Amino acid sequence: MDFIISGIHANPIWIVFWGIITGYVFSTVGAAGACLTLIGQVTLFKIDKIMPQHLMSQGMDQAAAKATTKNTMKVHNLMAVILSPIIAVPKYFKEKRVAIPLALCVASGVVFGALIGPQIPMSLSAYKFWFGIITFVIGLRLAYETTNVYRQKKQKLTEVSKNFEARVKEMKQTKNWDALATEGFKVDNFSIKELTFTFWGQQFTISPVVAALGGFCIAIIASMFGLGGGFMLVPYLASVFVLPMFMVSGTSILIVLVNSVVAIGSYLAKGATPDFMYIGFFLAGVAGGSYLGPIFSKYYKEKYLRWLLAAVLLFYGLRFMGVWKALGLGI
Amino acid sequence: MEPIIVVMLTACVITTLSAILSKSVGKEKEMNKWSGEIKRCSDLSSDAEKVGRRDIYTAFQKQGNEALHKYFAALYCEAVIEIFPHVLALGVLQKLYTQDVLHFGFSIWLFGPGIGFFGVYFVSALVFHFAVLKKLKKKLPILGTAK
Repeated sequence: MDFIISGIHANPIWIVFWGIITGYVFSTVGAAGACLTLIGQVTLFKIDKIMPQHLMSQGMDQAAAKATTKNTMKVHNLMAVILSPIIAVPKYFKEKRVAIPLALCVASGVVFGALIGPQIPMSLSAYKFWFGIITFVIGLRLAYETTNVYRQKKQKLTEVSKNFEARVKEMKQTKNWDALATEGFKVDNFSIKELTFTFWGQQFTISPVVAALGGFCIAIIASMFGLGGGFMLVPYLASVFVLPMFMVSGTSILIVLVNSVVAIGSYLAKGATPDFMYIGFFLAGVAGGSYLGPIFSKYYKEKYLRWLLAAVLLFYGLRFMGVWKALGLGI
Repeated sequence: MEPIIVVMLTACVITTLSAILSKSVGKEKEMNKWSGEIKRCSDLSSDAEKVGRRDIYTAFQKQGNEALHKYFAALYCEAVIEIFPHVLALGVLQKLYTQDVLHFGFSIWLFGPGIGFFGVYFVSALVFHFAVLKKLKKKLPILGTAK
């Protein structure tokens, strides 16, 4: 089948198949979705090589064709990222799970970051190199998660928290969460220096400037690489502002949506032309893979999948960085 | 048939199909399960912080983070099931219509003299979802939350 926008000629079954693998891995391991999306585009379907030629055959000059290809691949990544926020944000608003004052502070920085990120000059090869580093680091992290050191640490933490939970149960009466939820949030005090708000019965104090600055930096990095930024936002909100996870999930997803929408808009304004047919087949596969992942993961140890994924990511991370080529290996 | 009619009809049909698909294979139960787990970890970590147990606070935050990952995975699955039919339909329309499908006859700021297939599809799907499907959801179990 010919894909008229990207110019590739590929069997849709292979695109769906790669989507299944991506969805399967993402739903099981919970990481590397964007890395696998890019590996598919670059290694399997060679969009980075074919699309510039296709665009040049239509009269575009080489530099513009390469820039359009790079931006299009980033939009493809972002289109895969933006799906969950689109569905989740209205749901979260309805359930009053978004800490709106905090989200607004971070999002004010995110908007600027996501506008600036796509403007930072980066060639197609530089993009692949830096994405290779990200892929390699995620691969290292996954490999670490399969080690006994990590597992023992995790086991210890689980035991400690179980004991604590049992004690809390004994000592504390159950809170009526639903009643608190109806209260939603209330801004108690707002100034440039300090924002104090009550969310679900608990009071939080944050610095709006720090929140906006963090959002700005995260959005620059995320939008430069065509990522949603959730993997940086969640630890940022949880560790810098010491916010509970229940609040982090609702708030971060709104910020990811803002970042992705602004970044997609910026790339489209820069001439990116997403191939809906390609990404449609890919997402059909991702849907299947995400559905199958939790069903089949019961039948084997997750550790083995992590090992395999870590190996794949380390291999492709080094490949994108040009290490194999530099060593004279034609792989 | 006029391109604009084809795009609008496609948007309505695909919106209905994706709502049915999402309802039949969605992961609402799993999402509720992980949402409860996140809330539990969140409650316990804030209790630990209140009594000055930073180690236990960290442990629950980590557990909450893992639950959050699982929640996102379920959420992602539901989202992708609901949206991929739209993207595929847009792929087909992208092949068919390279020019604007709705011509204003005059130029509008930001839009220009007309709207392409994407804009018409997006607006039609959104209007159909909110004006028709949302109302039908209450009556038809196949589409969603019938009571």
